[in-house]
Amino acid sequence: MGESTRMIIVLTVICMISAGVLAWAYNVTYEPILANRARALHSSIFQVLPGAEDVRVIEARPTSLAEDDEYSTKTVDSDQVLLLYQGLNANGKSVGFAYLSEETGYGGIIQVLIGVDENTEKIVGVTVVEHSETAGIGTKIEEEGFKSQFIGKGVNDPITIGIDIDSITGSTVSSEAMTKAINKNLGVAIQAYREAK
Amino acid sequence: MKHFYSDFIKGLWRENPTFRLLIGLCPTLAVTNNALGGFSMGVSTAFVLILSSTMISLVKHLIPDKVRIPAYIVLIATFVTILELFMNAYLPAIYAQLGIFLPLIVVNCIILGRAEAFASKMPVSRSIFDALGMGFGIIWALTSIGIMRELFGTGQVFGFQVMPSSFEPIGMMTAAPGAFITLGTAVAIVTYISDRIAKKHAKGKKATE
Repeated sequence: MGESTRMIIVLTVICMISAGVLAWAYNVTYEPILANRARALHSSIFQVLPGAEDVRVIEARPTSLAEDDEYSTKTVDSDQVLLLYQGLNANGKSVGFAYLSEETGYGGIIQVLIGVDENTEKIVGVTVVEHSETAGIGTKIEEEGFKSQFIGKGVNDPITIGIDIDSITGSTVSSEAMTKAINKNLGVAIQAYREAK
Repeated sequence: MKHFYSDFIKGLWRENPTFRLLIGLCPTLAVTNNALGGFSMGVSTAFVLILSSTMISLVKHLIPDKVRIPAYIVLIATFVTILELFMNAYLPAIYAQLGIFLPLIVVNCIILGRAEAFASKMPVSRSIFDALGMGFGIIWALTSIGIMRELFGTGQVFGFQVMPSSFEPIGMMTAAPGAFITLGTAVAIVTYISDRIAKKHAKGKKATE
């Protein structure tokens, strides 16, 4: 057997065994990983929707929005699906919905979950799901003092950083990104929720 | 027996990968902003190191010399991916903290370094002891850096408050500069102690002569 034949066989066998082992590991861990993700998202949903006990996922397709809607044209393109998480209270009645929005911050994507009240259609809770901001500086966007400024805002309320929202000293970029993320899809999400529910 | 002891013990101090060989510094600097991060990174790296060293030592005669590096990398990457999947499934909080540095263990030079320098030449039993020593060496090094940074950066250790409330946390210590300062200080201390030990040994030898 030639040297090159042997090299090919050895590498192929190693890769095949590796692939087999990895397939097994993937299968074993698939369910728990999905469960973890769902649990993390659910606990964030309960955080932003006071009174929610259960979650129902609505797949909204915000296509029917008017072209001139200032929110729809830029951020949600026509065939995109917007997931709305409807929060149900103990009696099974809806308390509102939550949706995810993201914007590029200082260190990467900032993903926020925004909870909107069923009746008033105003923000009742905001939480940061994922971010990679600078520890100790940009991470202050997670603090209650900053997040609570968005509560009570509706689609017709101006949400401008520096005027309506106090930005965090030293982390202007992170504060701005978070404000943008909350601002950009609020109208689309409310509209989509009205149509879907 | 003497072999096993010296194979094991050298990784802890004399050839400590972090403080003496100064290799694998990327995760050392990146995830040690608290004690738990340092400890879990140390354990993860040690886990991969021990498994891959054992495996490579077992199959070293089957692998043609020219393709040994790709073969080792495939083996190492397999162990890292297994670790990553299981951590994501059963320790999601630590998985989230280690982030990108968990898959990057594949390219940690400690692991391929030990495979090339030791496991590919030595019998399996000695390779295991070498990997164990190096593994524990990484664990104590990363954990101690993590403890120092968390202590001065937040006043806590492993999440427990240890500093009095009058202590003003030095925010910089949990940021990138804190990593360099802590590592530099630790390397200086370890080098100083090593020099002292070496001098003592030299003196002791002279005296017996």
